[in-house]
Amino acid sequence: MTRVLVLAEHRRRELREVTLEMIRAAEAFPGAESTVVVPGAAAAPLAEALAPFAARVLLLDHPLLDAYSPPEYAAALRQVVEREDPEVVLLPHSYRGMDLAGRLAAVLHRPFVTDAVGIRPGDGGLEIDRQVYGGRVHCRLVLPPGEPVVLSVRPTTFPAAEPRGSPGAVEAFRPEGLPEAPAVRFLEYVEEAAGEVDITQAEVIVAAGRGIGEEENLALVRELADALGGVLACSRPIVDRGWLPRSRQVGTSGRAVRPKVYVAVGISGAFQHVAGMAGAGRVIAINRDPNAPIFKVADYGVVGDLFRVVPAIVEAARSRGS
Amino acid sequence: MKILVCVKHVPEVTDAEVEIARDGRSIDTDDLAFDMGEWDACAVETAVRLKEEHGGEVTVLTAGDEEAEASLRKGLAMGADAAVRIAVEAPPADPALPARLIAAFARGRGFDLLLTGVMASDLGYGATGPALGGHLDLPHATMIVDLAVREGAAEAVRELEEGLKERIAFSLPAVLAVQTGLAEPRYVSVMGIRKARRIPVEVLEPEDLGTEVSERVRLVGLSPPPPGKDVEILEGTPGEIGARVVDLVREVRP
Repeated sequence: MTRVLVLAEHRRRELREVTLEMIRAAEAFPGAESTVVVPGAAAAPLAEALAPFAARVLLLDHPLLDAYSPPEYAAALRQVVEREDPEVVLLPHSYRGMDLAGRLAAVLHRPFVTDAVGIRPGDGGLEIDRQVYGGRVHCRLVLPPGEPVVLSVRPTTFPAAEPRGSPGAVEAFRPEGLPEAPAVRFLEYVEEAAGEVDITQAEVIVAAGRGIGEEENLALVRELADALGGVLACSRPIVDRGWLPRSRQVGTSGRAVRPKVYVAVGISGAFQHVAGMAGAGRVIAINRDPNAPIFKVADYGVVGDLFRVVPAIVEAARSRGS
Repeated sequence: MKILVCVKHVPEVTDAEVEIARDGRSIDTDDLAFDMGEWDACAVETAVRLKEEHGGEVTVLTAGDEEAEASLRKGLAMGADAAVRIAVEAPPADPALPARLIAAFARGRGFDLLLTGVMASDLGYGATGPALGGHLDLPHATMIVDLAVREGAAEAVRELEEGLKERIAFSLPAVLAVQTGLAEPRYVSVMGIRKARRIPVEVLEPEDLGTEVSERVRLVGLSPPPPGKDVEILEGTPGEIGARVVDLVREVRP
């Protein structure tokens, strides 16, 4: 039997899909007895909504936890951990989970690993798979046997949990001694201004990455997008340099896209980018590095200099008309 | 304002071939170029700009081996005033270790702001900033893409998923993990780095800080990544490849 505490994540009064993935991930532990922790007094309806998916749901019934502030979240969860004594605290490696995991582990004095893509419990300790060096190397780690741990798991690693036969019990717990005001005060959400094109609706996307080198080379990729009747998009470095607006960015912090064809030009294929194009139909990657992680998610690949390959595709498209 | 920036000296892997060393536990670093982490460079730039705006001093710190001092020199060349290296064999497998060492250094030194990058491109745990906040019992925030510091307090914008962001406020001192794009790191010349050599790097052993190097997470081994999709690599002249790509696109979307 393994007692697993799963931290639910919600935003704007809606559960995030990663919560169900983490409930499913907890099943990787032998004889898992999961308790899903739902922070915030206002999250009571969400705790109820999770009951069909978990044996037990624990609402952290305190208004201070309605908005996220790391010190108070960690303090409240510490009280839960002292009460429940779980062997594993499981949370998603989402942007919020990434923000909390290290702090929570420090406050709990528990060993931890973030961004796991594989979980193998064993007598010698919990073995974890991770991707390191930009996804170019696979890494196996082991956590000390018999010690309670904190673990964050990469989103989309596990499928969402299915409803169980009978709904679980929903209980409430009110953390004590929280301050009047949070240390990190949430002010407002900031929405990205809508771009001139909506890349989420595009059927063909041609996306430029760091490999294009200079801003002036963006014209070449734009030409390819035009020649293929597609929309120009990009990965994060292009936006960071100010070459294209954020509305064109594909990835975790940008947009998730589902085109019929996705052509990746000079994109190495960091997880944060790949997560945004997972819904694409046919993926064609052009990169000079045969080991680039993008080729792990591509259907077709061209290993070569994009400054030779891209003009050749443009030429072929034009010579055949559209 | 007194600012500490924690940086990591990491290999550039974006366009490099990363080979696993014979021991199966480390990577072959001979052909790799090392530099200050991309996120960390944005953190240093942010710190130097804050100093230029508000006055104060910037200390760059790394937990690493002697080679890692190259990243400290770069930090000094970018405008930092002092550099500290906590001597450890880099990189430790345990994500808890760097924050524990940095906290042992920073405690009681009166930093108003402790900055670091969101993550490093080698192990990518993204845990040092948050764990540092926990150890020092200070407010922390990660994924910072905008920052405005006023007297003893700050407002920041942090990135969330799907193009959404949130604006937050907190008092100083605080720990912030900086996302790329917050501040484009300034260019430093070789001459600038050479000039920065005049500033000594203070080297501290973990024992000097009343702590020790111990890891609870152990590395089992490294291996090539598992195979992904069965990718078909297109071969031929550029013209042949070009024609094939056009066919592949038009098959799906005529």
